[in-house]
Amino acid sequence: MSLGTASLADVERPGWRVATEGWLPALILAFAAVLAWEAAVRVFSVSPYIVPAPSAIVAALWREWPTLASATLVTAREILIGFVVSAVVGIALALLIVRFDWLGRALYPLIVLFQNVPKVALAPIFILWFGYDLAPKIGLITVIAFFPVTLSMLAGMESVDPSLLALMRSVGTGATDILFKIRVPHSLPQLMAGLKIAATFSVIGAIVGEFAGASAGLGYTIQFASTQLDTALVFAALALVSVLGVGFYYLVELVETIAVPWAPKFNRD
Amino acid sequence: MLRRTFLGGAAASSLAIAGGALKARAADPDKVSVQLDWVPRGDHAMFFVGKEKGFFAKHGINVTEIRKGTGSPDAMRLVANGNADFGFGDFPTLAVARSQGVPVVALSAVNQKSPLAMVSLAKTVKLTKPSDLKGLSVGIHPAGSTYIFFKSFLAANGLSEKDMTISSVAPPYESYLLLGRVQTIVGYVDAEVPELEAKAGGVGSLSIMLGADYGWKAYGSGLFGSDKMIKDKPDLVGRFVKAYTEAFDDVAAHPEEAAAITAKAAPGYAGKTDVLLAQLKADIASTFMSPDTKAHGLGWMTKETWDDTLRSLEEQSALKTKLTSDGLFTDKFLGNGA
Repeated sequence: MSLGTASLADVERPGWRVATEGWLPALILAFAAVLAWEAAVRVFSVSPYIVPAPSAIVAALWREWPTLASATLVTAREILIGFVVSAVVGIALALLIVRFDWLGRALYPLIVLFQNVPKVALAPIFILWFGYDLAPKIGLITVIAFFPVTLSMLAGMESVDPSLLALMRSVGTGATDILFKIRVPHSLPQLMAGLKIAATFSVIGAIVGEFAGASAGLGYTIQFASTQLDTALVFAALALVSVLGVGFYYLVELVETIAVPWAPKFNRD
Repeated sequence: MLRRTFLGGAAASSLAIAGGALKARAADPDKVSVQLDWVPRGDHAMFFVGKEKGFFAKHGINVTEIRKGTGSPDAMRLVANGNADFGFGDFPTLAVARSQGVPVVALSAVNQKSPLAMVSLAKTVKLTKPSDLKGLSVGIHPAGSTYIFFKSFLAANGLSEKDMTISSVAPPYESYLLLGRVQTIVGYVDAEVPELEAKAGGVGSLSIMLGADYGWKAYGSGLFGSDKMIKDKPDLVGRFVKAYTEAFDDVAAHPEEAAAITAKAAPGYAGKTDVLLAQLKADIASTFMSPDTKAHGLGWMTKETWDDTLRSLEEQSALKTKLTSDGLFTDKFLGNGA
């Protein structure tokens, strides 16, 4: 975090090391893992229908690229819209619970109860209710992803120093002002953590939704590749799902860096 | 080792001295497990009847488990890597699986023609010819066999997936059709269609276009094993197929009893005797028998039919590598007194 130490270190280390050391360890580990995977498949001659070699997955990516690219776009759109709706719903619920005490006491246990409903079981029902368009996927993502948003924002808003709240009340500040001027700003770092969890949940929600019923998307591609026993294509689509997930995660982190620069981060100086 | 040599010898002369060998086998039967393609239905009855009425025991086999499945492709993968000894699944899917390097072999063709059909609600869409499918929304359950059938059926009739909208559906299908989420689905006339018809309003409520009537030449589902099993334990495979075929004859002759036995043996099927019987009757009426089975016994397979199937599959490029029908099926365990 400290700017001073970072710039001091810069003088002592060559430029390329400073530029690469953030992501180099991850890259080396990933490369080594893929290499070991390829070697294991070749040495033990594992059948491609059980575990395909990374080279076969890359070949499938290349061969099916037009299909996979359009499927990725479909799923990315679902994730993006689903995530935004989850964030809005999650934040709104947290605000309502904190601002209106009685509503909070009514809502909170129900939200916790709902969180324990297995969402996978809801997926086919959502298809029947909402059809094959975006709606059932957005619905499913929202029920899966709003909870971490609500919970983390609540935790953030409740962790305000009680003596600060007492002071504000003593000078006659209203509940709404306390909410928006004290509690909400205070909750932002935790909210961002919740949003990052929601981003990864959104990816899962989109795939679960597509598994239940879809006409396009990566989840749909995975299912139909599996019926053809094309395991390499299944893995290629899974790789793209992971890339999407990582992409959305870091997009939220980027927003965090810009909007809430004081939020604590892992993996930084 | 001693036991194996003894069993091998017994099989070689099993017809001649069956009586003596059977006693010794009964003391230490071979344990085998069976992997079904889906939840139990009428044409799975041979496994349950074979176990209940002692056809397997008679041939020195103890069927320890009959597992329900999650689609033909999964069943084939499980049998191929030895997680189960024998399986039941869709044979065109078996060809696709083999072209993807999954070493499975067809042993007995239960459905002599494909029981797969396009199904719609008669009051919404009437299906009278394949081109009626143009522009419809089609619901397909992505468990394997139905999609492979659908692609082949389109290819056989000069249609393409681009002519319609494809959506994945999960069983039971009736809600999708009744709510109009899709206009037509791919279904098994010997599995979900009888139930679907009952729920959609009885006989005549559905419009059914059987693939076999419109250029799709293929076996339906049947018994299969793995290359390894046939190579390592040909004697066991021979006895299993023999017992299975005897159970098959029994099922075809006494469907009521077969349905009752299956309903009793399969977990959660206590009240489903009628459904199983309807499925079996549909099979007996249209798919179990063919001129081939009249000549050679139930389950018979010919190179001609397999070649036809492979040709259709190749036309719609469902096969990853070019296949020949040799190795895909074997009839050496089948037939009257084989």
